[in-house]
This record gives sequence, structure tokens and C-alpha cells, in this order.
Amino acid sequence: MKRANYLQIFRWCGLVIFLLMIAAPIYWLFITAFKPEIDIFANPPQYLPGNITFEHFIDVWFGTSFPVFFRNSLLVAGTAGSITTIAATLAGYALAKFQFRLKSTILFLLIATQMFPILLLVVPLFTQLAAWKLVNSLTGLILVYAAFNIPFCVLLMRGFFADLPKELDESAQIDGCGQFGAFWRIMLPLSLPGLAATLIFAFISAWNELLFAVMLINSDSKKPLTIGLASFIEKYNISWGLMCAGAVIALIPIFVLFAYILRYLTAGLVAGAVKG
Amino acid sequence: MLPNRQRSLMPVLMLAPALLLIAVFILYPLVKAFFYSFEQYVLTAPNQRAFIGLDNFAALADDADFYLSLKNTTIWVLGSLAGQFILGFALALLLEKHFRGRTLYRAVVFSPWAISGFLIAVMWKWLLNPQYGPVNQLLLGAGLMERPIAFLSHPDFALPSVIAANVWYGIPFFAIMLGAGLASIPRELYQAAAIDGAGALQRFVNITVPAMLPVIFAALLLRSIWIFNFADLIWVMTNGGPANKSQILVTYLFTTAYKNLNFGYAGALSVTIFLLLAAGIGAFFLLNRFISVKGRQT
Repeated sequence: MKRANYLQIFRWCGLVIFLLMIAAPIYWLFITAFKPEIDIFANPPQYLPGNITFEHFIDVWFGTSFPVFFRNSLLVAGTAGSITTIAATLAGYALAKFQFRLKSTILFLLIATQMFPILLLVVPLFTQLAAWKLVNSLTGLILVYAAFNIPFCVLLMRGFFADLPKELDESAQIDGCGQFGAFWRIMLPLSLPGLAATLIFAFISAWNELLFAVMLINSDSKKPLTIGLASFIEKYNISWGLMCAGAVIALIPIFVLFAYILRYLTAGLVAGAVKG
Repeated sequence: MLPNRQRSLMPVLMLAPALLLIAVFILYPLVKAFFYSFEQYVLTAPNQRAFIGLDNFAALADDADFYLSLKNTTIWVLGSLAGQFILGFALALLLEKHFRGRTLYRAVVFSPWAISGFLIAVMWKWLLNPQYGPVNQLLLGAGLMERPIAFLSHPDFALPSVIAANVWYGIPFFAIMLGAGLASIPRELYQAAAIDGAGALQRFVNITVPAMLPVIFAALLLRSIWIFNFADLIWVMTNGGPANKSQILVTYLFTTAYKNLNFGYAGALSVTIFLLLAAGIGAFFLLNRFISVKGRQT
């Protein structure tokens, strides 16, 4: 009994240490956003909340191009995420429910495209999009992000469809649904939670992408959040209050969506996909 | 005959949009990068564009920055991987048993997974700020240093600092993946071992570790590829500096393409990185096979 108690104490200490280690940096980001300028540059630093102010949030929203960046990010991540999800749902269903030639080749291709550094594509995609007049355009960014997330999301959707019982699909076809009807009226509604999770995965990774946006976008009016915030570093000689307030606003949609997909994370990561 | 015909067409139609996007935006550019590697192609001098055979690769073989990036990449991958794995595994073990508030706790400690590499980088830059950052202040307060250190612009500390940030970022990945592996070990094994008088450490060594080996291998492989390919953190935190001391292969590639606009050289770097990575993955599978064969023999 005594041994078990020691183990118990050890466990709780570990849990507290991890919580502090992981939450403290995020806490620091949040609290900086709410500090008046004078407290941000206090020496020694102020660890606990003192005077709380919303001035950085007001400044970043009304005094910079931040709302434009935010709108661009919503548009790009929303559209790219939707395209990815539609393409991945169709392909995932085909790979889960049909037998056909080249199926294993396609699966290998999907896994292989996840393995090499996507940055290898930065030069050829730039020249290709330049030829199509899609450099410095949100459309170009949307197409690139949609394509990048497809391999992972196809594997994800394939997993969700494979989990649905085969009998459902068969009985629907016997009842006269037809192959497409079975997919559209029976299987798709049943996989809606998985579909939502896939949409969120695709949305988050498009929302978070940085280096292709750096390469492909150069005017302020087209910048998504990541590179928009990055431009603060050069322009405003990094005002940390402004930067942290912007970061907090950028994180809000992500944390809301993250809460929804938390339970799908395991399934997604174990589905054999490389997404970190 | 209609159903048969439908059967053959439906999967093709369903796969078409996904495969089309992959072909146009991933496979075709990949082939194009291969061809660029044999060209002299600098965006600022488009008139001098020419086929130069293997000259880019010859230049690469003499490039000291390339070798430095290669060395840094090794340290970056192994250092990040070791830290993420050990801490992630520890967290997964701590989360194994149910406790009050576990769902909320998991949501908090897994949240870094969803944050962009860019924001992680900005956050750590601020934490490591020599004048106002808490890391310097805490180390000074603990008496571990005498003067504040500008970690990110110091030649000896830049790479370890970005690795530390990356370790922090990657803990949730291992905790989630290894946690799933732990959950799949049958409870009866532990109960039987406990009845036979095995202690906690013995149970860990004799049940947990062997049962987890396949999951561990998969997680290590996936993660090392991902870390190898992950450029955002270094690009924002140190830009590869000072003097390329924290430059890794993919950030070097991005610098060559974006800053120097040397597309031919970037192509040669791309091909080289591709081959190095393929060799690394191959070696990992061989090692995996060797170990599992050996494990079966003993």
C-alpha cells in the first residue's frame, strides 16, 4: 500500500510539471497581449497579471492591416479546406469500398507524397503559378494548400468509411439505391462526424502554413495571417504587445476547432499519415 | 450489363479530383525540380538561363554551407527526436490512468499540436528575449548564468535553442500516438503480472515496452521525417543564423530559392535532399527488420 502511495505522488508531480512546462509559454504569450507597454518591458518581468489592458487588441485591429490578413486567412483556409474535404471524401470512399486495378499503387503514392519535404516544390510551383498568373493571388494559394492536404485527408476519410459496416452499403443497393445513392444517402450522412474532423484538419493546416505564403504572396492586401504577422517584425520593429495580441486572435479559431477534433486526433495520427 | 459498367466507372470518377490536384500541384512540380537541377537558372538573370549538366551538383559538393547544414540537420533531427520521444512517452504513461479532469488536462497539454510553427517560433523568440524574456531572468535568478545571453544570435546556443523549442512543440504528437498504443495493451496482462508479484518497473520493462515496439518504431520514423522537413521554426527564430550555425537542409533550400533566387541550385539541393531522405528511410526499414528478426531469434 505504501509503495502504491509513493507512485501516486510521483504521478501527480509529473502531471503538474508537464502542465507547467506546456502551459507556461502559452500563458506568457496571452498575458503579454493584455499588459500595458510599460509592464511588458518591466525588468524583472511581471509574471502575474497586474494592470490589464485591451489597447493592443484595439491597436492591432484598427491600426494595422490585421483585419485584412484575418479575412484572407479565413477565405484561403475555408476554401482550400472545403476543396480538400470534397476531393478526399470521394477518393477515400472509392479506396475504402471498391476493388480496382492500381488501388495499391494509388495508396502507395498517397503515403509517399507525405514523406518528402514539400519545400522541394517551392521553386517549380512558383514558376508554374507565375506562368498561370497565379503568383500573389489567393486563388493560387488556395489551390496549392488544397492539393498539399489531400493525401493525408484521403487516408483519413478512407479510414472513416472502412469503419462503417459493409452490410449497410449492400442493403441500400438491394433496396434500389444504386451505387451512388448508397454513397450519397446512406454512407455520407453516417460519416459526417469524420467529414467534419477532416475539414478541420485541412482548415488548420492551411491556416498555419507559412513558407509557401512567403514565396507566393508579396502584397499586403493578399497576405494571410502568418506572413501578415511576420511582416510586423520588420515594420513595427516588433512591438511585442501588438504581436501577442495578433497571435491571440489568430489562435482563437484554432483552439475552438481543436477542442472538437481532439478525440479524432488519435485515429487521424494512427491512420498511417505523417502529419505532425 | 449496366451494373458492371457502373462498377468500373464509379471509383475512377470519385478518385479523379484528388488525383488531378496531386498530379498538377505535387507530382508535376517534383519532376520539374529535377530538371531545374541541371540548369543555370537565376531568376534575376533570366537571359543567362542554360543547360549546364552536373555543374550545380559539382558546386554543391564543394559547398561548405551545405555540409554545415547537413551536420546541423543530423543534430536537429536526433536532438529533437530524443527530447520529444522521452517527454512524450512520459506524458503518455502519466495520462494512462483515469483521473478527475483528465479530458481538460489533455486538451491543454495537447494544444501545442494545433498551433502554427510560426506562432510557436514567435512565442519562443519572446520567451528567449535577452532583456525582457523570462527564460533569461529565471536562469539568472537561479544563479546558472552571470549575464543574460542572446540565445538565438549566439553561435553556440542558436541550434540548441531551436531544438528546445521544437522538443516542446512535439511532445503532444508522441503523447497522442504512444497513448493510443498503450491503450491497446490488454489489461489482463498487467493484472496477471501483478498477481505474480511483478513490480511497476518490471511490468513496464517486460510488458509495456515489448508490446509498444511496433508503435514506437512507426512513431519514430514518421516523426523523424517530419522534423527533417520542418523549416518554419528555424526560419522565423534564427533565419538559419548566426553564420549558418542553425541552418538545416530545408531552410538552406528555402534561402537559396527565396533570398538568392537561384532556382537551378535550389533544384540540385532538392534532388540531393530527396535522395538523402530516401536513403535514410531505407536504412530505417532495414534496421527495423534486422531488430525484429533478431528479436524473434532470441
